[in-house]
Amino acid sequence: MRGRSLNPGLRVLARVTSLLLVAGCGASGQTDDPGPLERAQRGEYAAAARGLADMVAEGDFSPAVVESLYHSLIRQGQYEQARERFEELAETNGDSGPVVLAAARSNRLTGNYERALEHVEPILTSADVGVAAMYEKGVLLETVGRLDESAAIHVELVERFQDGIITNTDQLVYVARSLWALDYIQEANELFRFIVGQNPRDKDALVAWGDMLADKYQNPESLASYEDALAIDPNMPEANLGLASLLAQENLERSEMALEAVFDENPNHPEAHLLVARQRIAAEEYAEADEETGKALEVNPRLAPALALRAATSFLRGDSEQFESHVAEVLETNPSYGEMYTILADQSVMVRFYGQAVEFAREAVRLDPTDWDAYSLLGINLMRIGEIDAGREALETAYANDRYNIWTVNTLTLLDSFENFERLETEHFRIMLHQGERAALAGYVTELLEEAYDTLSAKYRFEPEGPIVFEMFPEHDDFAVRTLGLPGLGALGVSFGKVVVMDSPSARPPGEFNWGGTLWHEFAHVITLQITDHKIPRWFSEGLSVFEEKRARPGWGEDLRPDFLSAIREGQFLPIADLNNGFIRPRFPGQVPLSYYQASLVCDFIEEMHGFDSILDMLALYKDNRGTAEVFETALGISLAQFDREFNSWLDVKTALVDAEGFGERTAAGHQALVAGDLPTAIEELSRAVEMFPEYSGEQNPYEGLARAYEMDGNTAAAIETLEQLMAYSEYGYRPLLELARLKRDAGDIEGAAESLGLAMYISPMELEAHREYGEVLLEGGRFLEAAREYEVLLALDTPDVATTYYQLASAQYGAGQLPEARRSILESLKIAPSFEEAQGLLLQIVR
Amino acid sequence: MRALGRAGRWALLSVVPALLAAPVALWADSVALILGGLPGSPRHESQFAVWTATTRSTMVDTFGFVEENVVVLENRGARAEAIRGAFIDAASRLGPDDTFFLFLIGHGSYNRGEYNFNIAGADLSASDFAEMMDTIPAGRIVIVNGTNSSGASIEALGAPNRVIVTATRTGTEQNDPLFYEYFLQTLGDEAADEDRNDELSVWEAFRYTTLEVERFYEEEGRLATEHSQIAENGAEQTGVEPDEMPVLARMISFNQEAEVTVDDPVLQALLDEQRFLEAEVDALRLIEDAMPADEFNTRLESLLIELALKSQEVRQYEEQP
Repeated sequence: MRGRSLNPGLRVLARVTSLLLVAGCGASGQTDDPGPLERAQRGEYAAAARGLADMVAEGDFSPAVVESLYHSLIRQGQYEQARERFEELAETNGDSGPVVLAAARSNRLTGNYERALEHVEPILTSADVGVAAMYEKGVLLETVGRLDESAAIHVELVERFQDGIITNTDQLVYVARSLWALDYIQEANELFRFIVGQNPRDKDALVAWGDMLADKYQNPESLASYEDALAIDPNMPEANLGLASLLAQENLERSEMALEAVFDENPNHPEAHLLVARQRIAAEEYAEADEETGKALEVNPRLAPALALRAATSFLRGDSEQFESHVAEVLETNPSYGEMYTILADQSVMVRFYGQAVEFAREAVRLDPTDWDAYSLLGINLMRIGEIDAGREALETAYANDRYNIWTVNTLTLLDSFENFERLETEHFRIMLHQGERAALAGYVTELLEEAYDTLSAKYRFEPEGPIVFEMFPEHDDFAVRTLGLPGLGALGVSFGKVVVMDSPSARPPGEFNWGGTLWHEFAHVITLQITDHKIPRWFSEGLSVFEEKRARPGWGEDLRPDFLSAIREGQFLPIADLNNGFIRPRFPGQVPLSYYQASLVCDFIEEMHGFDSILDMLALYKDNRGTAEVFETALGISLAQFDREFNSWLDVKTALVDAEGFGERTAAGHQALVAGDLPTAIEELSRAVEMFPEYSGEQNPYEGLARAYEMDGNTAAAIETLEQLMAYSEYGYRPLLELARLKRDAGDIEGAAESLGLAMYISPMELEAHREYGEVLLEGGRFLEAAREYEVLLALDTPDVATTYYQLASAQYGAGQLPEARRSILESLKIAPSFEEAQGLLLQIVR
Repeated sequence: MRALGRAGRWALLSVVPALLAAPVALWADSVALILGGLPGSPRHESQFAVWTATTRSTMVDTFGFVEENVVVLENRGARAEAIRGAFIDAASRLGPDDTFFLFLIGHGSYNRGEYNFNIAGADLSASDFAEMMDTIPAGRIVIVNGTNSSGASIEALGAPNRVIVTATRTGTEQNDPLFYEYFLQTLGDEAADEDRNDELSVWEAFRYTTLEVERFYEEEGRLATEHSQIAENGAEQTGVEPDEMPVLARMISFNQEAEVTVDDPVLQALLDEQRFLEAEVDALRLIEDAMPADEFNTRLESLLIELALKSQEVRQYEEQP
C-alpha cells in the first residue's frame, strides 16, 4: 500500500550508512546464570513468564521486561490470559507506555481492535514505546481497513527515521517494517541487515526480515533468516511457522516438524492453524479445514484470513449462503480487505476452480487497487482459462509496480517467447506448437486431439465447452511456468478445464515420455473437470484420466511395477477418503505415481463391479456438490469403508499370483542362457518369468530377450506375439515397437507394422528412420494420405535425402489422387536430382 | 541483388549449360594427398589411423582413384619436409585438367589468428599450405580439413578454383570434432548422392555430413561445438544454407570413373542428348533466383519432362534385343 508519497531510497541508505559509522556493538551477551529476560530470549517461555511476572509485580515496567513478559505469554498461546493481565495492569498503571502497548497488542491479537486503538492513542508520543505504538497503530488501522491512515503512519515513521529522530536500534525494526509495508523492499532489506548486524541476537528482527524475504520470494535468504532466529530461540513459534510455510512444498517432512514445534509451544497459534487449514482445503477436506480455522477463530473471532478461509470452504462446498455471510463478516471489520479475495482465489486454484479464481482476483484488485500480487494472480489465472491478452495486461500492471514477484516475471518472460510459437485450429481446438516442431507434430497432434474428443465426448455423453486451448512446450521449464509460474514442476501435462498445456516430445529425453498418452490423459481431465463444473476430487479425476489412457492405446497408462507391488503388499494404498493426500502431500518418495496407479485401479474396480454408467452417476453427483461418502453410497450403494475393504480384496486377488522374486531369478537365468546361446533354456526361463510378472515392461524385462530367442530359433510368429504382449504393458518401449514393426513387415503383416510404427511416433516422433519406415509401410498398405504425412514430416525434420523423400511424397499424393500436389512434389524431387530414374517415371505417369 | 533483364537471363542460361557440359575432366587424373597428423594419445592414434586408412581405401575402392595417385603421410611420417616433398611430387603429376584433393586428419591449433596443422616436428600453418598449394598446377583443388579449429584455415587457403571444407566455423571451436567420422560415413552412403546421378559431389558430401553432425548434437541434446563450413573460389565461407549455391563444389565430384562411351552411335547420341538436358536443368537451377517463379517452374517442368522422356528412350533402346 502507498498512501502518501515518499522517496526514501537514497535517504534511507544514507541514514543506514551514517548509523553504521556511529553505532557500536549493540549485541547483548549471554550470561551463565540466565535471568528471566535471557530465558525469554532463549525460548524458555514458561520459566521466563514466571520471573518476568514477578518483576512486573515488583514495579519493573521497563520496556524490555514488559515486552518479554508479553511475548512469553503469547508464545505459549495464552492470548486471553495476556489480554486480561495487561488490561488489568493498564488500569492501574496507565502511565506505563510498555504496559499499555502490551494491552493494545494483546487486544489486537484477540480481535478487540477498537479497544486496542484506544490503548495506543495516548502512548504515541511516549519516549520509550512511542515508535512501537505508532507502528502498532499502523497495523491496527490496516486491520480495520483504514488503509490511507495506516500508510500515513508508516510514512511518518520512515520520515522520522530519515530526519534522524529515530536512532535507537531497538526502534529501527519498526521503521524497517514500515518500509516493507510501503513496498520499499530494498531499503527495508538494507535496514534489516543493519539491525541484525548491530544485534545478531535480535530474533524478532530476524523473523520479520525472513517474513519479508518470503513475501518477496527470496526463499533461500528467508530460510537462512528463520534458521538464524531458531539458533537463538529454537522454540520461537513465529520462526518455526515461517520455516513450515516456506518448506511446505519442497520439504514436507521438515515443514511438518517445524509446524509440530509451533504447536508444541503454542497449541493455539492462529496462523499455524490457518496453514493447516489451507493444506486441508487443497486436499478437499473442508470439514477438517473448518476445524482448523475454528481454532484460530477461538483466539480471534474477527481474524480476517480465518474468516476468508471459512468463506472459501463454504464456497467450495457450494454453500452460497454461508459464503456470503462470512464475506460480510470480514468486510464488516475490514471493508478494504482485498486479501480475502486473494485467499479465495488461491484456494479456488488449489481445487482447480480457475474461472472462479479469476472472479475472486478481480474482486481483490477492485477492493485494493494497489494489491499487485492480486494482479499477478488475476493474470496467471486469466491465462489458465485461455484469456491470454487480458492475462498479459494484468501481469504487466503487476510487474510495473512490483518487480519482485517471481510468478509475474516468469510468466511475462514466457509470454514474450510465444512469438516463437505457431497457431492452428481444428474443429474443437486452438493449438499452439513451437515453430521448430509444428511441421513434425501438427499432423499427429491434431488427429489425436480430435480422436480423443470424439471418443471421450461420446463415452461420457458430454461435449465440453470449447474451443479448447492446447499448448505444447519444447522446454519443460516453460511448461512449468505456464502451469505454476515457477520452473521445476514434475508433471508432464496439466489441464485447466478449457486449457491444456504439456511438454512436447523434445522436452524429455527420447524414450522416457509418451506424449500421446499424456495428451489423452489431459484431455480426459477436460471432460471430467467440465462435466462436474470442476467439482470432481483430484483422485477421481486423475484415476479416470489414467483409466482412459489405458483404453486408448495398448501400453498407455500406468501398469503394475515392482515398487507398486511392494507398496500394495506393505499396505501403502490409501483409503479413498484420504487418497487426495497421496497426490498433494506425499508421505514417501514415489507416493504420487503410486496414487495415480491406485486411483486408476479404483476406476477399473468400479467399472468392473458396477459398470461404467455408475462412473457417470458419480460424476453427476459430484457436480451436484455431494461429498465423496455420499457419492459412493448413492451411486454404488456402498460405504467408503466397505468399498475400501472390497477394493483391497479385489486387489489381493489381482496381485496374488505375481511373484516378483522368482521373476527376477528367472529373468536373469533366461538372459544368461540367451547370451550363452542356449535358446531352449532361455525360452523356458523367460517364458516362466513373463508368467510370474506379466505387467513388468521396464528395463531388463523378459519379453525382449524372449522375442530375440524365438527369432533366433526361427519362430517369428512367437517373437511377434511376445513383443505384442510386451507392448500391451509398455508405454515407452520405442525400440521394441520398431523391432515389432520390422518383424511384422517381414512377415507380410503390413497393417500390423503400420500400427506398431504409429505407436512409436507417440514416444519419439523426431527420428528420421522411423518416419521413413512408417511412410514406406503406409505406402505399401495403400494408406496414401497418412504416408504423405510421414514424408512431409521427414522434410520438416530436414532429412538429408530430400530428393527421395519428395519422390515418395509424390508417390503417396499420386496414390491418394492428389495430382496437383503430386506434380509439385515430383518436380521438387527432380529439381534436385534430374537423373533420378524412378522420379522421372512417376513424372511421366502424372503428366500423362 | 539486382534482377537481370530478360535478355541477360537468357544469355546466362545459354552459357551455363555450356560451362557445365564442358568437361569437368572426369576422365582426367586426380591426386589425393592424405595427411594424418600427430595423434598425441593412444585413442587419437588409433582413430587417426582408421580415418587415414579409410580415406585412402574409399578414394581407391569407391571413387576409382588410381592407387599410386593416393598418397598417405601419417603420424611420425608426416613431417614438414615429407609433406613438402609430397606436394612437389603431386605437382609433377597434375595438369590444368586435373583435380588435387588434400585431406587433413588430426589436430589443429589456433594461435594469434593463425591456424596450424599439428605434425611431428614443426607444425605447418595454413599459410604454409597456401604456399604449397600455389605450386600445384591442377585446375581444381579440394581441401577437406577435418581438424579442430580448421575454420581458421579458410581465409589463408582460399583462392580461385579451390573448394575448402572445414569441420569448424572458426579457430576457437577447439573440441575434437565429429565431422570427419561422419564425412567418411557419407562417402560410403548412397543416400548422400542428392541428385541421384551416381556421383558424389563435394557439395553433396559436405551437405550430408553437416546435416548428420547437426542431427547428432540435436538428438543427444548437446550443444554443438562444431559448425562445418564450405568456401570456394576465395569467397566467403558458408554452412549448408548458402545465400548462393556453390557452383564449383557441385561440379567437382569425388568419382574418378572415365566417361561412358559406347560403340553404338545411336545410343551415344541419345546419351549425349540426355547429358545435355541434365546440364540444362542444372543451369536453370543456378539462375532460379533471377527468374520469376512461374517462369522458372514452367521451364523446369518442360525440361524435366523432356529429360524423363529422353531417359525412357535410352532405356527402351538399351532394352531392345
